[in-house]
Amino acid sequence: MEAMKQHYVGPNDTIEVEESLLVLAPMHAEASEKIESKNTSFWREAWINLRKNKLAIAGLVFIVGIVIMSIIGPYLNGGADYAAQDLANSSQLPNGTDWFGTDDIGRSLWVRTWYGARISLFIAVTVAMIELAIGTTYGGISGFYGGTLDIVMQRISEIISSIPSLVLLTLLLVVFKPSIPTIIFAVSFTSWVGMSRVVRSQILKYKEYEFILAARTLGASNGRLIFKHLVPNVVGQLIVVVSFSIPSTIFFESFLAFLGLGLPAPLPSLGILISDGFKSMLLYPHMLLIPALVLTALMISFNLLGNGLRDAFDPKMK
Amino acid sequence: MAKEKLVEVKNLKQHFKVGGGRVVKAVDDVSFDIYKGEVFGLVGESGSGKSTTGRSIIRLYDITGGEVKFDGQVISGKIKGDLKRTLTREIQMIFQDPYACLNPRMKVVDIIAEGLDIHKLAKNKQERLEKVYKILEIVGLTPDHANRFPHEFSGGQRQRIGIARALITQPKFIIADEPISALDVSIQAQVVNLMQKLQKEFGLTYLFIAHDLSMVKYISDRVGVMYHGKLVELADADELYAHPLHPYTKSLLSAIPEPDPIYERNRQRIPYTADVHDYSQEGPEWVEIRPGHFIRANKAELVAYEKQLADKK
Amino acid sequence: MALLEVKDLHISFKTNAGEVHAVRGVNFELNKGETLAIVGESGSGKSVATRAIMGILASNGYVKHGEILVEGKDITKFSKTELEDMRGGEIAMIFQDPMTSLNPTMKIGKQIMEGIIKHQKVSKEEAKVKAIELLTLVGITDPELRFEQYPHQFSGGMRQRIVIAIALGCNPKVLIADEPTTALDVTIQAQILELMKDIQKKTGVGVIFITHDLGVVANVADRVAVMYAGRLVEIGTSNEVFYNSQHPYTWGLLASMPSMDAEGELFSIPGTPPNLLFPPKGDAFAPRNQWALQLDFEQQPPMFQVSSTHFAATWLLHPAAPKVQPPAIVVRLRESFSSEGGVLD
Repeated sequence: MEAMKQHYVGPNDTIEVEESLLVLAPMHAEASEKIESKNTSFWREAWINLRKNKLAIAGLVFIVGIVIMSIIGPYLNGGADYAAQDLANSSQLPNGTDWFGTDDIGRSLWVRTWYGARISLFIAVTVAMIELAIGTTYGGISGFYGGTLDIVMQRISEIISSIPSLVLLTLLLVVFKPSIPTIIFAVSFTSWVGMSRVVRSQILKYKEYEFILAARTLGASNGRLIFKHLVPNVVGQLIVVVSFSIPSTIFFESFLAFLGLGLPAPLPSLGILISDGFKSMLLYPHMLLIPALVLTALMISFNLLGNGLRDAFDPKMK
Repeated sequence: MAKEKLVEVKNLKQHFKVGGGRVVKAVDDVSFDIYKGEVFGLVGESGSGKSTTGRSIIRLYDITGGEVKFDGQVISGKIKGDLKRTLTREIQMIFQDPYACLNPRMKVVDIIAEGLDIHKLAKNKQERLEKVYKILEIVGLTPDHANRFPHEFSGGQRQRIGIARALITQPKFIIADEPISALDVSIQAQVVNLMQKLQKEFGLTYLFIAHDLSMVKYISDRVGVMYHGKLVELADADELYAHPLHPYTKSLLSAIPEPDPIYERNRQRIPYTADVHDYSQEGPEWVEIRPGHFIRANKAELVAYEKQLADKK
Repeated sequence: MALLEVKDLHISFKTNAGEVHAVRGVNFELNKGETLAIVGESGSGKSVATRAIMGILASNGYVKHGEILVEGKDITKFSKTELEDMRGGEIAMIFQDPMTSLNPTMKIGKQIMEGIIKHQKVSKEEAKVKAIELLTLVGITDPELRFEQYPHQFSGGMRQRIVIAIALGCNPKVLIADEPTTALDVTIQAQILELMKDIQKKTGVGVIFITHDLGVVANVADRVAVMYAGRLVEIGTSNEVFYNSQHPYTWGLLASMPSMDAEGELFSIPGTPPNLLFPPKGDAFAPRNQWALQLDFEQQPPMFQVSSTHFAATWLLHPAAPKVQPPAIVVRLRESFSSEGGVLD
């Protein structure tokens, strides 16, 4: 009993206590049921977790900054017309009148960069919303009803996802003219499958949880099961997937632009600007660097935020 | 004493298809009755089919064969919508896992009131809240708890919330599927006592499914023992524990740990394998060997069991 | 020297809501060849304390104060690599769920050999021989054949046997078993308990057995430590804790198990264990304690010595405290013990 030695009161030790308190006390078992901690919901808890993640917050700040600039930026430095040319003033380095300089036909790079960011973000967010709508519905139905329906729906989505999107895109862009809607359509045509897989696997997981069984034994309708029980539990995951889908669409759009499958001139997007800038990279590196920096900042920020969100929603982190 | 049957399970079969065209007979030809106001215990090891039996009765699974009656009406297979609605009010379930049985995104008040909302049992918000508060008090919690989320509660408290949810529709029959196996010993007694109190107060009938034989013996009036999808023995709780006949029941009883070191040192465990039965000549049947004491045995075994009973008495 | 000594151990976790004081001053020791059972409910700190001994606390947990001496060396001061060597070497652990502690894609023979090679520094051939010996030791028939199989080809009880074989392969001096039978059926549980006792006899390993089931404790333990709200409330030999328990919490635990001939209402401890974000001032058990003294609410009771091996932290042991009547089952256990001529040493 080595370890105990310094810690016990032996028969010969005396211990000073208020002896009048050595009487039985009334019982207060109800008191032990009281919960003293603050009432926290899932969302609050997730926000607190996210706030502790400095990188994710930095990402969030950058994203908000770029979004704001993509909305108001074009109006801050001269006219908001991204197509306005000023051939006399072409290929200027960044200066007091044209903050980001001008391109080879004298269009303001400041205006074009923020307008381009706006278009890139618009495409990415729209694609994400389409993925969300189709993927959630499709994956939800497939996972929730299960059985033969699930098997058939899974085979269909496998076929769709096995179509190489680049081939499909090239075909589409040959048939239709490249435009914002065509690009959105072409990208989201296959990309919703990923979202539907996430939703399906989540639904399959929660479907067997006892709280779902409990709701079923109480007679809950399918609508109630889906909207009251399943969706609130899956929504955190969905936000994470969306936060990773946005940067990958932005990247894909730039990639297309680089291949010459991008938006028609004079519409700018970050990809178009980079592709244009690349042509005069050696003489005027700012034409490439500035849009590339914005693109990189967006990509990194979204990825940092996505990682942060994933950790914040993960109950294991508590 | 004329006992009224509340639940009648006849030749219940629940077979699941698994990969490769194989079929798992989770529940295979099981028959028993549950009387009004009693606690019917169902014990067995994991995979014995005891939980599947419970879930089949409450229609979480579509049964493969047999029939289930509740209050004299057939409730298995295709039934009318009206009856379905009545059943979801009158039969309720308490689950095993206090962590998985409550929706983590819902507040306690909404979890408990779910039955009220689905069956529109509360006229207005005020009444809904009052009912929830009342039931919280019955299970030993307070109105303060209503606005909190499940993750803030201890395992025992969560289990009581689960019980409150089951009680709010004023059911007649509650299937408790291993309600205490995931709880600590000190909390198990609390939950079992609460269930007994509720049974008296509301005249409930329980199907109590568990693998803990000592707790089942304590709470149940009658106990059925399941092994590999089949019911092997059924008797009054005291009778079953005093005069177990089936070798599997004996084996189970001999394995229960008792909080008594001397008893434990001298314990003789009785192993069981299905090889002890010789069913090559004659298959077993479900027989009532004594009034109320059923056993799965063939004729030769019955003779031996009869002898055992005679010797003991 | 004791194999393992835990001195005034305090462990806390940092959470969003604040600091959780999971273990609040625990002392115990483990000798060679003995089984110490640590009993308590979830949140009592029993698992946390043993995870600290293994050096596998969750990332937000830390040893705030105290020492963990393994053969005299304080492992709370160990570096990462030293800890890694010790884990599996001096101390091995068995968890509740055998499936999650096995690698599903690796043959079980290889999994057993890994530890043997790492900690016993032997060749592959020797390791294989030893692995097959271990499989035999843990009661697996056809060990040569089973050696080549994957975890999914075994039943739950068999998997737990393999987990035990893996743990033993490291030749540990201390084996920590965290609820190793809770997930198993009663009949399988009985087999695993028999196996563990048998192995202990053969290898002399010291075992810390964590459980909330007093029936299991009665079966395996030489000594028993009862934990509540991060503190030890009673510790003694198995006989002392079962037949002469002193702490009302131990009484409550003993009385809330239905014995096979129990009648009437079951004794139950009311209420809920405290949230260790806000550890209470006095005895943490006081609000749920039918025999609580007023002093319990004011001041934490020290460990009172009952015998040279038996200690309990309750003011009821103060010479001036009122004498109280424990629950019937505790009295019955005491009487049955003395009527059978049992003497506590």
